[in-house]
Amino acid sequence: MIDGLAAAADAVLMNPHALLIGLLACGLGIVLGALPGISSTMSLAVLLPFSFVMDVEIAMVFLMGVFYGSVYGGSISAILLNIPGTPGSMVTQLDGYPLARQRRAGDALTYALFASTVGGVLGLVALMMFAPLLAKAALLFQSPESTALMVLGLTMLAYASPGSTYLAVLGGIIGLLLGAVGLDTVTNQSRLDFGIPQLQAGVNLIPVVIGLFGLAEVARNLESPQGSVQGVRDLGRVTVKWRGLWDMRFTALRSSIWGIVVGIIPAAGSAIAVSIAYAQEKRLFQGKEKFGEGNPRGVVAAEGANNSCVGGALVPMMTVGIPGDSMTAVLMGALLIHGLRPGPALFEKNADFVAIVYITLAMAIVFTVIWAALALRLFAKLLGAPQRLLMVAITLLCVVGSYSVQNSYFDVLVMIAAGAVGYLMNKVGMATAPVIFGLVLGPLLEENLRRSLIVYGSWSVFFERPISLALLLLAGANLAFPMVGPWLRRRSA
Amino acid sequence: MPRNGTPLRSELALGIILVMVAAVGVYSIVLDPLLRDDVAPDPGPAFFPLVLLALLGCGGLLQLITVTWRAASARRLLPDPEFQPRLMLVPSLLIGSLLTYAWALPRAGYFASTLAFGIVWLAISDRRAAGQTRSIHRWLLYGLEGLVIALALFVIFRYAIRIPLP
Repeated sequence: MIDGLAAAADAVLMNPHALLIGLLACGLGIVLGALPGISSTMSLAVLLPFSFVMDVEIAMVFLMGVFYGSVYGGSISAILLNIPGTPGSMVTQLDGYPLARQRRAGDALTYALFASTVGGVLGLVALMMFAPLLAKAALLFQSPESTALMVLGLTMLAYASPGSTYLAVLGGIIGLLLGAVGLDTVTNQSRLDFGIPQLQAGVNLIPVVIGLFGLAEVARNLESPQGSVQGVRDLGRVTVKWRGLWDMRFTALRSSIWGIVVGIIPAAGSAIAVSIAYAQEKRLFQGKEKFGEGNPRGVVAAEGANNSCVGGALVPMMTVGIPGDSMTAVLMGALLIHGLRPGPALFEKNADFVAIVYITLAMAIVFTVIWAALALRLFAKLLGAPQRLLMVAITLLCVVGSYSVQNSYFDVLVMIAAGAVGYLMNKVGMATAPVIFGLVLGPLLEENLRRSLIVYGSWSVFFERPISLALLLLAGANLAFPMVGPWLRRRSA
Repeated sequence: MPRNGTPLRSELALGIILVMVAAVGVYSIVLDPLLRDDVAPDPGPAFFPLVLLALLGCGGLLQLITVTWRAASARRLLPDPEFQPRLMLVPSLLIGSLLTYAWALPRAGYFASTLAFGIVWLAISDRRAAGQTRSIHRWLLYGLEGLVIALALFVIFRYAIRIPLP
């Protein structure tokens, strides 16, 4: 492991091109994450096509920079505009914005940076500690266990998605169906192509991701007129109060642990982590400190959990190939396109790449601190940019980005269709993330399911093997709980 | 389970769409003779999509039944406030103009089509945000902004990542 890390560090940190790409990607991620109306997933989705022309190491530097940078960037608009840049920053604004209104925006942003860095580092440590162990355990899995694990992952993703679990399950099935379009890997027969030759190669993941997370959000934002958002632009004096930061050390630590734990659970996501971490600090300091009126501890709790979730969410993706949230689903799609299949085999066959993931996450944390230290006032100014420029630039980036994947106009049409469908799905309260999970996991699920049946000859294999049975029972419980839970509560009341 | 509360027309429409999608999918698979060969124990290429389509169809049907049941009990089916024409007009215009843009790209080339799309949408967004599009100065500004965006994207894609644009 140490040798692998040293080699990865040598390959990435000694490469000026990689360092420059990482620095720029991180800055871009912070800016996009900070702009209201642009989520981290949207940032990652619209910038994804850029990574395909890069070597896989450089692509990872780029994507991790955008990923981590955008998560931190979300706190800037939460504090200065009272609008969370990303779902994970929704709790940051509760104390961050009141601090900014008290002319302490600089303080709030310093606390956010401190907690983000602690969270990011602890998330990275957790990733490095748990991922190899989990991968080793997952190596014992044969195709029946992998099939059951993917079914469990999909049900958890549906369960944890915002809105109705029922609609999220249907969204996941739509994603699985999209993944089944095109040539079957075993018999080479084309399915569900409706005579369209371009569909025989399957539905390309990238235009669907750009459409669902990019164009659909632009369309949603267009429902109401978007002027320049008002908020606090004056950061006040930005000075590091070491004593204040030291007092927050245990809050940062506790909330980071929550972020890691919740991040590891597939699809639980940062929004849940920050809510738990904030509620815990409120309970611990009940009667001693007031929250919601500009308490730095609230900012630290939210941002520690938010950023440690990044490392946590990478654990299930890297070890068992189940994305931890919508961002890691997009990241997983990018890795699949680069020919790398996340899962336990990654640790055996591409150990160097695993080390590169660790190094690139560490780089992203450092670059975020550098950007925040040097350009915080610039980011604050950028928040005042006219929304029209942003809307048009992102829409055009969606079109050109989806075209550039295969130089195909068909992909542009797929992106527009996905955008329209994603917009309508949002309106009926159907989460779009399960569609991407389904599309990413669909081909893997079908492959493992059919391999299990070919090798073991019968469906009973899924119920005879204890791990597979346990995973399927958990999946069943996941689906049943939303139906049985309210009934049980009514009965006990 | 589908949600409780006052039934909405959009929920009914969702159920109908899901059932229709499932029916079209099943029809396309069942009619294809090449998808019928399954060599046991491999269930064949049609099995996985058929299971998914069946689940989708059942899900849609359940949605239809529960919404109809709730509508019958409440004796009403309300329009969804999310689907007001006032809200959906501009997003629909965006989708329509994007289809036109995608059609124009190979015919008019990247710069002409991108510039036209950019200027129109800069003007629409600005008019909605600030009500300003009438002055020639604003139109010149949109032209300049559109040109900068189109040029920036061209330079990034053509020279930084070497993707030839039409």
